[in-house]
Amino acid sequence: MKNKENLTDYDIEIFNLGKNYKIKGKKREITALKNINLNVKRGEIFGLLGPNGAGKTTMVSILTTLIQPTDGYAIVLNRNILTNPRYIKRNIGLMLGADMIYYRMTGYKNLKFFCKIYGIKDYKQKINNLAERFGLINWLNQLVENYSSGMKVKIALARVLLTDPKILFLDEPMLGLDPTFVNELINILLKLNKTIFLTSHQMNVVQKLCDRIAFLKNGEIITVDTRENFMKLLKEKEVRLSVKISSKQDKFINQLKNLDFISDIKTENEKILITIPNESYYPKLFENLKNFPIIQINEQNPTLEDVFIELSK
Amino acid sequence: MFRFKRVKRITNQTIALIEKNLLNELRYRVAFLTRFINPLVQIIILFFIFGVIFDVSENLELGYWNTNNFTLFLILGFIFQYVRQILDRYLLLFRIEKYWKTLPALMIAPLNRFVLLLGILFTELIIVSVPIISLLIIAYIFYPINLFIVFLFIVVLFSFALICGCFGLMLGVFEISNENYSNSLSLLLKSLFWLSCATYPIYIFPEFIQFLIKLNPFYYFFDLLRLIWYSGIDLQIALSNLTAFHIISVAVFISLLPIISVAVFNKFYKKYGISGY
Repeated sequence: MKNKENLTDYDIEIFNLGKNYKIKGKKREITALKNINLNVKRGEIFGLLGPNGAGKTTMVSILTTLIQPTDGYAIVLNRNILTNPRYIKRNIGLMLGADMIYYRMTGYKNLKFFCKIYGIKDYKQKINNLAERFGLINWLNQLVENYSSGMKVKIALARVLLTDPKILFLDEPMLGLDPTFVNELINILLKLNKTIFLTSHQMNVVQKLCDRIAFLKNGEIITVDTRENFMKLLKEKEVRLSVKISSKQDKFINQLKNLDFISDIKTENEKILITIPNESYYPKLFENLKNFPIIQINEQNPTLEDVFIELSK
Repeated sequence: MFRFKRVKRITNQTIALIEKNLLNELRYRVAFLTRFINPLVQIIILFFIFGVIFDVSENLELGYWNTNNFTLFLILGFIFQYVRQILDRYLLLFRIEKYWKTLPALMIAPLNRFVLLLGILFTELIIVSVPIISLLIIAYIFYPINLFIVFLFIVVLFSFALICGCFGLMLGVFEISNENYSNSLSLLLKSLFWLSCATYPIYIFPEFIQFLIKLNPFYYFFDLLRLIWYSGIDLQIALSNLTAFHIISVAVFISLLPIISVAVFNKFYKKYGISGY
């Protein structure tokens, strides 16, 4: 079973993967991952979502051969992670946020160090090209400790791209970055045309970047689907409306509370968010709202964040 | 051709590791300088204890060590102490890299563990070479010997550094996965060093401790190093003190420990990985 190394269209294939940990002070082992089965196609950007402690980093650590699974195995680039870790290590790139960079060294020395470790010959040209692409050219000779958070992430990504890896494993790559940097990095990643396995809490990142998404909870895959189908999940179930009225807000909310088909009422800034089971309740709802001074009504599309919260429950 | 390529790759990777380690060390230069000053303080204390409190200036006779050559004994002892510190540095460097979260970058890189062993070893040898060379010059000025014997001494001293590196690598993997083990084992090794008579002669101990010391391979290592130097002063006395244990303990250590240390590192890293941050 472990020698299954046939060429397929998948860059990552995971078979019954499990990982148990022994935790200090607890007699029983904790299950970090349980019976995971997944495939990631070549060239696909795959997002792994899940709340804290779901097992996302453990999964990335196993797939990048940093730790070993307790059960099952995975085929990465047609090689078994258990029997052929060297090949996998040579051909993948791992980025753990802005880590794995020496902050006491300059950006250039960092990249030069990793070039030498990976045996990259024409490293000067390569470093300059990457620095130019990421807008770091004027900062290359500064210590990384002086970089902003966004620049640290960029230099960490540049380190990963030095080796021109076939798969990128990105664990929370954009945590703590401002939206401009996030968008900039998303554009960079989209242009790479590489297989990317990404874990993130930032729904806007996953929403813009990923072709398919898996949701991990308590070490188990809850669902795997395309980004579009993930959105439909909530849309099929519930409709959310945003209502803005000029006065009588309290009375309006009390009126809504009396309607048993409304599943949720929230106030957000000056707007009232109403959740109803589906669009068939519109006539009934509008009949009850007609006496109020409504300025604006919008139907809100569910975001991936809504899906995340719903699945996390 | 293949082998040459491999040797070249390992050499380049080792040089890269040395450069990286030195750059990280030199970020804070005053802190870096204290690394030389701290052992100097120990040297001064030991000279004070032996020279003033015990008053070794008169009638000292401990085996072949006496008033005339006891300073050499101490100088060589300090050199051993400097080299021994390499072991502690492995632990510290692995711990630092663990908390800096740079360790996964090294572990995921196609890096032979011998490169890790040699990279840290040569970094530390470069750093301690300044005080060691100074002490060797002092020893040479006061106790001049044939330069070939000095060279032989340096070769065996390097093998001792390699032994320290091997133990450092083994403890390093525990430092990565479980600091309880690394620090307990480090304490055990420190006891072995203490019972190796690096800076005090075996003859000052009661007989039952002398028996324990003679079970310790490190004792033979240090004694052999002293005998090498002493052979330049009095070959007859040096040869009469040389035993088979001196050669066996050094040969066994050097031939087996590098392989064992790399195997231990790989096995434990594979099983336990990185934990503690």
